[in-house]
Amino acid sequence: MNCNKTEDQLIDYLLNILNQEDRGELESHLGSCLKCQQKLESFKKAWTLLEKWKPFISPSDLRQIKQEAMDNIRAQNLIEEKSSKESFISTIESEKRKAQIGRQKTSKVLIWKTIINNKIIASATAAAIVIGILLGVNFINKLSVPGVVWGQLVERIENIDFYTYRTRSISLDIHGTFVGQQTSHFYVWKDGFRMDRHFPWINYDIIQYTSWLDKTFISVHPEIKKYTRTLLTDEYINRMHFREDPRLSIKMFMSYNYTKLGRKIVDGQEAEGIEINDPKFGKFGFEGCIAQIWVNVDTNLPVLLELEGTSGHGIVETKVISENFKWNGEYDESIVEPDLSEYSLVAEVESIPVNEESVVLALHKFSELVNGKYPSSLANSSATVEIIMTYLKIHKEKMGTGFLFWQEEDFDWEGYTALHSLLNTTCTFYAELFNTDKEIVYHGEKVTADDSDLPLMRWKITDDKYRVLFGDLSVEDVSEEQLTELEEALNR
Amino acid sequence: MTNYSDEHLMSSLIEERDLGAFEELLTRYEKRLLIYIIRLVGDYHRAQDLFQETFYRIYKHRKSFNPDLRFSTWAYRIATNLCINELKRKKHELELPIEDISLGKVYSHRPPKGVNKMLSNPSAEGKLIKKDLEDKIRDLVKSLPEKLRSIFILSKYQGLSNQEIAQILEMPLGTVKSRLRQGFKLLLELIEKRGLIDEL
Repeated sequence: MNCNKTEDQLIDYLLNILNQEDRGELESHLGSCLKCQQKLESFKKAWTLLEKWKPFISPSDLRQIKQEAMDNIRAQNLIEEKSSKESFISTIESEKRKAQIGRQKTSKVLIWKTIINNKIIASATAAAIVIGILLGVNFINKLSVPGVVWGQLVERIENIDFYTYRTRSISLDIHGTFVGQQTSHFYVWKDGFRMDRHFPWINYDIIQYTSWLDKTFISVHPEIKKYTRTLLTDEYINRMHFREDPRLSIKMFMSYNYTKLGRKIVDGQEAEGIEINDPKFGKFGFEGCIAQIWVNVDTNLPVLLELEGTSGHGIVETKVISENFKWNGEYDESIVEPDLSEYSLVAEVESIPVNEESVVLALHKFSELVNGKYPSSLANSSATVEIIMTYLKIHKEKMGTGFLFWQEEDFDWEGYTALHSLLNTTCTFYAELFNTDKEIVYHGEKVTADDSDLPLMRWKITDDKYRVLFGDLSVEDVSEEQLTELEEALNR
Repeated sequence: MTNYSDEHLMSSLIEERDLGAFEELLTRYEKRLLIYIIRLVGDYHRAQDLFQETFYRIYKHRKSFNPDLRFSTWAYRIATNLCINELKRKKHELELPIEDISLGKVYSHRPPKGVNKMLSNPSAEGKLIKKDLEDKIRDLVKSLPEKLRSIFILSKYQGLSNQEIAQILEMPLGTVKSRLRQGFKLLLELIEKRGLIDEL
């Protein structure tokens, strides 16, 4: 063989792209040609040298990158889902488009888009709460000021007696399917609030009365003439009051950073808006949210509130519009005090203290119900809806489709009401730790009761220690390094 | 889920929009595709963006997946096309210093996590020397023309067969082979020129 011609062949041999026949020929040549042997050896060395390039990606980077990819896809999924169905959504969209009319050119992009881009989290109850926040505007600065004096909003909320408004919301889970959809009519008075909830997806109504004064939470089912009552402890009321009383909430709300959006026409009236998108705006159990408030420039009273986002680590995406505000409307006792004479009380439970034991109990009860699964999210908003969905699913499996579990003769009202209360407590626990920067993280969508080695929930207890609640609900305090290992196991 | 083939997962994704299937595919391909993109564009942060775009497109265009192809072929094809477009686009821009995840480099944005951990590790010094060699090799491969680079990386580093590379790049098998040879020859020249063989 002519050795001057074999360099390409030697390379092909090394790269394994030489045909069978030439390969055999070259191999026999190599046996007798030292020059070629040396050349091949140097090629092999170079080949080995090239192997030394091994880009390194840390497991935490990988985890983060994967999370980001999943977030992107969930957002995309949601867009597809939204565009493919739900007239409700299209109504909201059209509302939104209407709302855009008149908005100044300098205003922000659609909130929905912003949220998808920023992966910011919110919740439906957030809406209720934020709406509540707005309620407070009492004194009307009749046209004396050309614009809304946002800085005085907090001061103006001292004495509100009675007001009403409507809220529409829709929640979708990560698969783009319904978690729930509801319209609610709120009546708020000094000592409590009533929420008429309508669930269009099951065509069902529930009326809920929360009274700070009576320390009760009453849930009325008009269709079946039944109601449940939860007795609220002082401790619970203090927490809830703080969370849901508009007069307290608005102070918190306005303490976040906001940007002014300019003016637009809402219901034929000129309104001025602000957007709250402070990353720290994560009160009440959601991990962040974006809200817009529009205040009538003449009356200085809120006329529209829009809120969008997802809750529970992107599990549930929610969109809420609140409108039809009636400020200081006619107060009627029958609105705020339910006449239950024709109704039967089917369950009465007490709210339980907000602590670790209650959380463990709540999660245990929930997992018992659904073969070891845990609630996917602990955002306040999803608690009711998730329980309803869970019961519906169980009922469907047991009875086939047809009618709702509430209508069952032997339905376990005590169990249902207790679980509802327990889960609310758990959400409160989660929210409080979240809001006090305790780095609480919940992995309910990944961890089941069988996962005794996987962390279901964790939060910081000292500078270098975390408390971990495992899938089997055992508790252990671990170091940061141990926690990292535990959470890496979640992604395996 | 873990027992299903990639193609089976793709069909779940297409037919049922099963995000669990997508997540499984992501888990299977995350590391190898990300490393491939890093090697191809030579920039960790740009690679991350391109990786996200790759998976976004996989999801968005899932219905155009040809079931006659392997999922890996399709995924590599999307990634390669994105990277090549990016490299072409970059060519028109001002040449910027290369960033990489290698130790000892200056990070203009954010250092990858894990680096600090490695730096505080007693054995990190040895790794620094190793990284220096890695940087040189990376620069070698980066200096290959684009049309040779992707083929070389797919073959040498990603361990794909020439047949699969031909499918990914939609070119004849013979072209893959000749470009592979061409690429390696160029690298041999550069290794010799830069005296790198002694560093082994």
